Formats: sequence, structure tokens, C-alpha cells
Amino acid sequence: MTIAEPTVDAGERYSVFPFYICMDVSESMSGDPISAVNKQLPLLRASIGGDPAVAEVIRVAIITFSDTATSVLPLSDLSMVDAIPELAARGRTSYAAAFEHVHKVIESDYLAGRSAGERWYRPAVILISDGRPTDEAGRWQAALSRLTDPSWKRRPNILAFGFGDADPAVLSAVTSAKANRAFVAAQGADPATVIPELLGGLVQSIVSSSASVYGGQAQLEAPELSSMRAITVDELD
Amino acid sequence: MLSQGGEGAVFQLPLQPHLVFKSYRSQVERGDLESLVSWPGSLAPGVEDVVRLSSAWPTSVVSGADGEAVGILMPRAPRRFSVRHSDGQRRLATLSYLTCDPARPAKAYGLAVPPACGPGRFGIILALARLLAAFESSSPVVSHGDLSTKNVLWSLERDPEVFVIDCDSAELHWPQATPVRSRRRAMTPNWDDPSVEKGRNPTVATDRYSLGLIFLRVAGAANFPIQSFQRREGRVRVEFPVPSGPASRALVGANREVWHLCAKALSIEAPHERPRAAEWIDPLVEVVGALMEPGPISRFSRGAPRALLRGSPASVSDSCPTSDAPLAAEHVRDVSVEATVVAQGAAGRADKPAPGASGDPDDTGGGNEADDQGVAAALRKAKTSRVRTWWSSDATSLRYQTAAVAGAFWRWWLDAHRASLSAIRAGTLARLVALLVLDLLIVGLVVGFGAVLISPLVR
Repeated sequence: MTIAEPTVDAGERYSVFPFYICMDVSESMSGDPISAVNKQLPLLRASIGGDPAVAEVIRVAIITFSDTATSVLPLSDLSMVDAIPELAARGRTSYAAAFEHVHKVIESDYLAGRSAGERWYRPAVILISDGRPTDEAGRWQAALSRLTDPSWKRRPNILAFGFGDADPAVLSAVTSAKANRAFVAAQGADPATVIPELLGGLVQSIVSSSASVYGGQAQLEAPELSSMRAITVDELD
Repeated sequence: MLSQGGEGAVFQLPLQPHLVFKSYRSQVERGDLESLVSWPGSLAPGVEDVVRLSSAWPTSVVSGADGEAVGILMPRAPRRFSVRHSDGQRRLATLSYLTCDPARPAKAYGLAVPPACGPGRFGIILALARLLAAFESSSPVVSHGDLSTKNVLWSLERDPEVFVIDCDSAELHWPQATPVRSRRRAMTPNWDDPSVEKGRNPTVATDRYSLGLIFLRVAGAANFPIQSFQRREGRVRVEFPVPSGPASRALVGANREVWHLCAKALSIEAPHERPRAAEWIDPLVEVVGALMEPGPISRFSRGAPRALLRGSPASVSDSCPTSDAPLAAEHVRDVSVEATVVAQGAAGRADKPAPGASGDPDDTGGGNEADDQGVAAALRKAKTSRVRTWWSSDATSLRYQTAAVAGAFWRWWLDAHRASLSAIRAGTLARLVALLVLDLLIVGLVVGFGAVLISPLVR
């Protein structure tokens, strides 16, 4: 045969698709909302980690933020995780702490992954918040600019979900006002109802994304949620 | 509720645990569903058995208050088509467990799946080919349309078996007529047929593509992402590693036909020339036979696909004419599949096998000496490794021979009783009566023998 053919073999490796779930655990989340989160998080492990095909290409990290940000679950293959730690609510809502921490862990996880022979799709950051940032606007915006800096090759795509006192304008800014990236629940919606649907929808989205990884073109799909609406993009004057 | 999808939701029925109810979200044509439900009744009894035993074929249409169709009843997958993870939870045994590196389920879930190119894997593909041959043997021809990882369940508990679900989306293709079912039927990404244009429904040839793809992925224990290459480049060459030893003799020596079939099945240039499912049966039987050939362990090991080798009296391959096209590699221009022998343990992934829960490197490393044990032990958890060690002990020992004879008798007894169910359906009760008499004799012998053994103790 004279024409070179593309060759596929059994050792074909797939790039992994990392997801960083940034969960607001400020004081306002205490009570029912944080219980709802703790009840739903094991679903991540069961649905993503329980399917060998999904687990092979998806990596998930869980980061909580309040006054500070912490990796409660480092970036993991969920099939190898025994349990997802329980989250507790306390403190204020520092978006700056969240963005700075995510920037740091994406960089270090990427370098660790690359040295282990992994290839990455652009990571996805999923910000879930029930309030407005309590740190100064200048500080969290600077941290966000650093995270989304076009010159930083590992800059993630961001999806933002808000309920309770979350500000649609802030969520829109977090997602760089991209269409279908920021979602907010109706005013006064009960977080204990919104959270299960949101986390369930996210799991489905991540599972769907895994199929696109096998197809060779990973897609970040936002979940369809009846209790939340997409924040529309502003029209230009 | 068991699951929820785009079309509707599936519920379990507490009073009929062997059935599930699928409720449709939108209006579905009643006539279409009724045609589906009645279709297996038009098949020859042996062929109908294949469909009933290997698929969740809809059994009744459920009507609403105004007589409109609101859903269907389907058989629930038997328990043996599930696996139990180390966390104790049972999950459907989807193809995902077979299309990944066997080290992954061992490490992540404590499951021992058979190594790449093991006979159990070919047995599963053969079971699927038999079902699809039954689909193709009838008029109207039936196509499933989405033979994906989640829709094809497998088991090695008895013989290698498949159980295909989501059959209510199957399509009946009447000769020289437009398809009766016109519902939009989407294919699962990564399991789709690249010759079907976006937005179009799968065709009869789609199931033939799926069989080729499943052959490649299940036999090779890898994902072989060929569709993206086919879409982008039009042509693709697949390098399939075969471990040296018995597998290489079975797959690279005389039984090369499967590779030609695979290449033809995956062609997007000539989808109409893809081989019918029935054409796969004999070559697959040969491969399974060749893999089972050597050694006393192969002959006796539990779970070996012996029943598949015998063929049934109403074999679907007899009722389905094979394509006239000669089997020649040069007819397939866009796909080539090359089986290359690699050193044992190197087949599949370059990675070293993870420390499997069974502690037996042969379970995960692709070595073929352990193949038959792999079949026997498939999907048994780590704690059973002690039993396997006992089982594979010296073939000349008395306990091995006793166990082998007992195992052979047990398989014969199960097969005979399974066959008797077919006999009842076929209306011949004589065989069943003879079998019952034999059962009584066996019980009598066991009781008598026991009494003789116990009597000295009683005195």
C-alpha cells in the first residue's frame, strides 16, 4: 500500500479531562445546604468511578472555599477513591482564595500528570456558590484574571452555578460572560432542592463529556437544570 | 425507578421482579410497539429461544386510560449479567469492563476479568453473533441500532452469554418497504457507525459494524478509537496485539478469517459488503475451539464455552444464508486489521498489570496458560483465588479428577434441564418425563449411598 494510513492500536492512550469542583462552604451553607451536598457527593464516585470507561478518562478534584481554599479531594481517578470526604461549613466567601488555589493546583497537577505520561484536555473549573464574594472586588478580580490569563496555557474553562445570595453579575464575570456558562437559581429557591438537581446534572454532564473524549474531541457540556436559568450574555451597545 | 433517559424512565415491578416497565415521555405509535412485541413469535422455536434468552425483547405494550400506548414491559437482565464491586454494590456487567485494560477492574473494583484474547472473550462475541444472526434471519430483518457498551451485557457464569437491552428501539425492516418505525434513534458516542450521516437513523449494516467493533474491543481488551480516524482520514489500519502461545496459534495461524471479517465489518467505504452476523459464527467457533484445545484444565474447567462449540439443533447459521461475496482482504480498501504476535504479558497495554486483587499475575497479564482459568474465574472476586488454586492443582490427582467429573456431570445436568424447557415449548414432553425419571434415580442413588455410609455410625 503506497498511501500511509493512520494506525490505531491497543495501546492508544486517551487524553484525560480534568474537572475541578470548587464548592462554596461558607457559613451560609451550613445546615440543609451542606447536608444536601454531602448526600450528593458520593454520587460522583458511584457514577463516574463506577464505570471503567468513564473513570479512565475523567479526573475530578474537589476544592472547598470559605476564608481559605482547600483540596478536600486531590485530582483523582474516582474508581481508585474509597470515599469522598464530608464537607463542613464555616467562614466567609473568598473567591480570591478559590481562584488562587485552583491556579496553583492546576499547574502542579498538570506537571505531575505530564511527567506520568498523561495528556490533558483543557481543565474545567465548576464554581458552585451561594453568595457574593466577601473579599474586595479588586482582589478576587485580580485572582480571576490570573486564572483566565490567555497567556497561561493551562487556563481552564469555567462553569459557574449560583443560588441563595449569589450575584448573577459576578457569576457572569467569573465565566467571562460566555454564553451558557453561568447559571443561577430563581430568587428564594430552596438550596436543599437546588443542590441535588445541580450535582446530579453535573454528574450526567461529566459522564457525557467522557464519551466525547473517546470521540477525540472533548466537549464541556453544561447540564440541563429545571431549577436554574442560564445568565444571558449582555448585548453590546 | 431504575434509570432515566431521553425517551422515558424504566421502573422495576415489585410483584414481577423478572420484568421492568419502560414509560415513554412522548407519544409512541402503538402499532410499532405491537409489531415489535409479536416479532419473536414468527421465528422458528430454536431461533426464538436465542432471542428470548439473550435480549430484553419487549413482551407487552402497556396501555393508558384511552387505549394509547404509554410504555412497554421488558424482561429484566438476570442477576448473572451483573458484577459486584469490592464496595459490595452490584452493577450491570456492561462491555466497559471488557474494553479496558484488565488491570483496571482488578485494581479499582476487585474484579478479575479474562485476559485479552482469552476464549471467554471470543465466547461472548460468539454469543452476540448468534443473537444478531437471529435478528437477521427473519423477515422482516431486525436491527438493534445501538449496540453500545451499556446495551450489551455479558456473563461468564454459565457459558459465555450476552443479554442485549434497549431492544424497544430496534427497527423492523420489511422487504422493499420503508421502515415501519420512524422514531429518531440516536447511537451512543464512541459506539456509533461513522458511515451513518449525522441526524440519520442507523441501518441494518450498523449492527454489522457494531459486531466488528465489539470483536476488536472485547477480544483486544482495549478501546481502539477507530471512528475518529475513519471520519477524519477515511481509512485506518488497526494493529491488534496477540499474546504469543496458544492465542497466537489460534488467531494468527489457521484461523485468520476473523480478521478479514473484522476489516469488512468496519468498512465505511462499502457498508453493504459488511458480513452478516451468521458469517462470524463458524470462524468464531473455530477460534474458541482452538483456544480451548490444549491441556486437561481446558477440557474440564468450569465456565468453558463448551455449549457454544456444540451448536444447537436449530442453529441460526443454518437458517441464514451467507453473503455470496468472497472473503478477500483486497475487497476492503479502507480498513485493514493486522494481528501481530507480541511477547506474553505485553499484549494490550504497555503498562505493567496493576497488582490485581487476586494476587495472580496471570489473571491480568494476558498469559494464555491462565486463559481457561480466566474464563472460570471471570468476575469472581479476589477471595475466590484460593478456590482457583485448588482447582488448578495437579491434573493427575484424585481430587482434581473427582472435581472434574463432578463438574462435567453438573454441566451436563444443567444443560439437559435447560434443553428440557425448550422441549416443553416445542410440545414434546417425553424428554422431560425421561429426565424427571432420571432425576428420581439420581436422588435415590444419592440417598441410598448416604444411608450406606451413615449406617455404621448409627449402629
